Amino acid sequence: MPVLLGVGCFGSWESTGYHELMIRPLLTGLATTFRYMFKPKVTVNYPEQKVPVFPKYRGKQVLMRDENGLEKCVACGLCSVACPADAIYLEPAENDGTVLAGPRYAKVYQIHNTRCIFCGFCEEACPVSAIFMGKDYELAVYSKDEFIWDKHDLLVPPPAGATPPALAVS
Amino acid sequence: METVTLTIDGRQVTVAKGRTLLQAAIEAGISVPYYCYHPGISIDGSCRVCIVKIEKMPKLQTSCSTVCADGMVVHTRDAEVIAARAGVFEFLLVNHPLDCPVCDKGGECPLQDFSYTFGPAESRMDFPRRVFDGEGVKGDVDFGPTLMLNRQRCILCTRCVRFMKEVEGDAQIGIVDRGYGSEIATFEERGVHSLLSGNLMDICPVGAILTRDYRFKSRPWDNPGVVDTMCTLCSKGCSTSAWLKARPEWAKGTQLIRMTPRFNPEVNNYWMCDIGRFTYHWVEGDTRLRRPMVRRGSALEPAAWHDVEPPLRGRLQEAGSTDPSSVRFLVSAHASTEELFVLKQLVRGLLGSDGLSAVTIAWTRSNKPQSAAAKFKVPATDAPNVNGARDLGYRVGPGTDGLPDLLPLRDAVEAGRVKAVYVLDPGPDGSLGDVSWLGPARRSGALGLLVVQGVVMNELAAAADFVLPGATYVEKDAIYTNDQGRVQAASRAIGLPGEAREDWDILASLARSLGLAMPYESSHDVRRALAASMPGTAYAQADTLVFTRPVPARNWLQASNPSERWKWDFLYQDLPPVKGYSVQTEGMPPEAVFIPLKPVGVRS
Ligand code: SF4
Ligand code: SF4
Ligand code: SF4
Ligand code: SF4
Ligand code: FES
Repeated sequence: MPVLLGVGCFGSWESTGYHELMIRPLLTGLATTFRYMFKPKVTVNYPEQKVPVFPKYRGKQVLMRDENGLEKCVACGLCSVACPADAIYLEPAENDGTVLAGPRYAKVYQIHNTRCIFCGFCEEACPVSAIFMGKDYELAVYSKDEFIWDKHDLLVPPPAGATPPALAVS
Repeated sequence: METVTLTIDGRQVTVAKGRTLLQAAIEAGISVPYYCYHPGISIDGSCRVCIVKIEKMPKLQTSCSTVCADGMVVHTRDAEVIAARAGVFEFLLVNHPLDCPVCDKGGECPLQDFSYTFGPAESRMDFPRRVFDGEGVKGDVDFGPTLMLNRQRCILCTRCVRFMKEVEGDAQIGIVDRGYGSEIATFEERGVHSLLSGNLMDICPVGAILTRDYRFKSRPWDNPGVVDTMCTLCSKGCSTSAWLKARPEWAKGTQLIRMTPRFNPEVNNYWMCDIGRFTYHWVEGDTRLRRPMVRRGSALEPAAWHDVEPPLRGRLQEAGSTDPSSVRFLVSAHASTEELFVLKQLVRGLLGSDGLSAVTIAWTRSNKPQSAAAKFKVPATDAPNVNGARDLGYRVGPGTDGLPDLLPLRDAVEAGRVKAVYVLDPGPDGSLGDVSWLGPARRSGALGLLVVQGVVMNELAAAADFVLPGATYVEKDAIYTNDQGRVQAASRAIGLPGEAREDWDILASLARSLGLAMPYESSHDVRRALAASMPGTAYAQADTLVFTRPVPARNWLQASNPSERWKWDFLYQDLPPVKGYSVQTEGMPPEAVFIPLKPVGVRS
């Protein structure tokens, strides 16, 4: 009896009474509100305040440096071939000794921000522990040109005691 | 053909008499690893990984050096073979640096693949590895102008030594010292100086010898596209593969990344020369012509094709109005047979039956120093199609061994008897020889019109009134006739740059605009007409020649074209080196797939 539905509701309103339907729930709600006023606050005022990320959180990648501040990536391309999203592009080149310890370094190293699915396969594939999933999750940008992270977006800063040749690079 | 029949792994195999067990196994698709064996050079039997068990023989035998005999019963997957083979592999890796991530061979390395498939599952090597960085000897060194040598990676298979002795004919590489100290070396560390040096990277089964050109350029799985084509840099016409490096779709652009030889027993066997291998950078270089250009005042300005054609036709008609034979064509022998065929119809249509006398074919010759004993000789003629031009009736003099004669043209131009010169040159810069007189002749006014249909910006193009961008040998399907008279196909590997067009197409539309009939829509139509017009010659089948395209590979480690795939499947038996799984071990008992190490010091 679909046409009678409204009539039926009205009927139950009559039988249960106005206060049962409106006043009691209102008081229950206000009581909950007052109870929470005296409990500790859980809201975080992001972006002024930030929640610490879990240790295994996988955010924007970082490219590591060794203790001398030299880059670690040997441009082997294993991260790029392991990447299921085809998000990594790199170009190896001959190193003159200022970039890293070995003969081969990544002249170009790019990760495409919107392609990356943060699976962490690149980190797992890397034979020299050069790439790690970082903790940075604030990845929104203003322009599509910024979707590609270049090497200088990914490299960690050189350590404090690093020797000069490394600093000459970036 | 006399044959012998033997049993390998329970299968009856029939092969030609004189074949070795290893060749029989490869032909039958049975996986036996090998390093020192290479089908193009002699047998050495030094690496010992190809050992098999032959019934009635007391010890395991190296299959590469054992000739098949009737009734032989051979086992390649017997427990004894598996254990002994794994032992050999363990020894091969004892001193190998395992720097695969920075090694250019990594991913297409027979040492990786065979070790994964046939070697022990783990290493017992706890001791420091031998490194060649001692007194006077360095591990990673320059190895001549084209190569790098990494001694740490060498497994002493001596393929390079035998290649230099047998194919190059000048034994520049040798093994010095002995036993544990053995190493590959050249006299006084001078390196390899040879026109065939690039082949050493192909035959070295590890990453010990690498070319500088390919060093750190790409990884094999980044080169999924491979096109079967041919080299056109000299009159030999070697069969080659052009490798294309791909990029992720968001970092656009494929790139020609290397040239490798493709087995062709009639022409180049397994080899190619360094000229053909390393001279491809110009194809994608900055000097390539990408847009048509027209001279306005003193400057050449880019223009659209439809803006170029009417004035070009007008100027050509004007130049030929009094005497059609004062329009001359200077054509490089890098032009393919299709282009020469269309050009022939063009000049015949304009100038009548002796129109071909208006065409001068040009090429260069250079002395390529090689040892007298070299088996692979690089011809002196630096152009692929002198014979094709001759077969079409152009005047090129006898044989491919002469120099072209540009003097009559030069004299005529300098005497002002020529009103227009149309240059067709799809070859690299300089392939017309000395044409430095042509630009000044145009500038001084002795010549009224210079049209250059070419591929690179050079002095000649800079002096032209019209510059028409054409296609190089890897950008079009075309046929060339080599110095043996073989009509061979070169396939398109990469797209045309910018607004460039295929050369036969440019010539055909020019002919159409001059009122000639050119019923061709594609280069295949041209070949069909060519085949029909020359019955009974090698050109009669020109329209049935096969051109290839890269086809998708079945897996990321596999080359995409059939001949490379053949090589990977049979020559290198190269399959995904995924630990614990390999197509090669399909059907093998599990104990054969996982080869456990014997504990040290325990005798089994
Ligand atoms: S996290 Fe995964 S998707 Fe992102 S770059 Fe690394 S491998 Fe690719
Ligand atoms: S980050 Fe690691 S895996 Fe990626 S190219 Fe560099 S070294 Fe290789
Ligand atoms: S350099 Fe290569 S080809 Fe020469 S012996 Fe060593 S592994 Fe063999
Ligand atoms: S011999 Fe001639 S055709 Fe063969 S690779 Fe060398 S230049 Fe090319
Ligand atoms: S291939 Fe047989 S011993 Fe090397």
